Amino acid sequence: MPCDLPVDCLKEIFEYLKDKDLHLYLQVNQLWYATSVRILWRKIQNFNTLLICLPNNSKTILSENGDIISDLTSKPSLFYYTTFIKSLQIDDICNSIKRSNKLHLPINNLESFEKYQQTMVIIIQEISYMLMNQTSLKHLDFYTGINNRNILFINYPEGEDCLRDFSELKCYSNTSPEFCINYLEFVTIYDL
Amino acid sequence: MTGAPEQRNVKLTSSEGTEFKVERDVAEKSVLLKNMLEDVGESDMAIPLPNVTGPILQKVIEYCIHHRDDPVPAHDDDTKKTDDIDDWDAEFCKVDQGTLYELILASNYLDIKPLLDLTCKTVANMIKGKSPEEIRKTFNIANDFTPEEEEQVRRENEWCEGR
Repeated sequence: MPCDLPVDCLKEIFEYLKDKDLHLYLQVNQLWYATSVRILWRKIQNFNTLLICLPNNSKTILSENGDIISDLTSKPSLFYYTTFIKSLQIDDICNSIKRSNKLHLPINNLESFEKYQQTMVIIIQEISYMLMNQTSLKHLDFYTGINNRNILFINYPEGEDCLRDFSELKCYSNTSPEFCINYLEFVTIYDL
Repeated sequence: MTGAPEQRNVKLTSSEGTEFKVERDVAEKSVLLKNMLEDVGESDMAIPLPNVTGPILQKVIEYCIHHRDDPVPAHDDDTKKTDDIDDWDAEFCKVDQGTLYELILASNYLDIKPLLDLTCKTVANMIKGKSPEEIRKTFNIANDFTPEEEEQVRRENEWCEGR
């Protein structure tokens, strides 16, 4: 039975399954769950879970920002899902924030729009910081509809390690040139 | 074969102590054996494989002989297809489930990537499209989640809308 197979072998089998199937198999038992999340969470599956996984100092920063509503004190997640993330699309995070109604910031003038963007940047910043500490990314897509000039990603010592397995970076015309240059230095360092 | 004219045989011993003789290029389909042979050099000593039973080793050797001239597989690409199994391989995998799992374990242990891929694909095809309940029935798996955990698993992995 596949349940007699060690986790490595079960994972080899699951690599051939589609995300849709893996989502179902999370519920089979603990072993199937533990095996499926390793594959599913290469991409962010759920934004709320991502927030729950944030380290305490990040949660404090977000809690202190009164514009973010989230149950950040809820009990710890069942798994360190974030350690499996290999692919990050900044715009996905922005869209999840928008959809989740976590920001209660009405946008009715330029000032409130700027405030909204700032808060968005804080969230992305904290998530990026967490990922840098826990995983090594392969793909980073930096497209966002917001002004991302202020988002730092590798300006932490840990950033270097996070880009160890880096193979793809997508930047767009609204990405600041300084930012791209910073990344290009890393690309050279890692000879990709 | 265009290889070395006098190819030496390699002796392998299964878990029950049965000895198998294979040509070196066949044995070298296993990365584990290839590395061992390179380290040990010329030797008449049989290599013990305590994790592999005779019937399974027989199957593994059958696979390696059939695929002896295949090029070394390219390094892991991201596309994992399950519909590219040729007729010989499909026939080879028509065995009972127990044998199939033992083949997975053996190819994992011996580090024979193409055989591991083939056997895993075959099991994946058996799993695909089944509901969690059907899976538990088919493979005789008990649900070891508490209802609270089950709910937490569902909540934490709920697919983001809009995907």
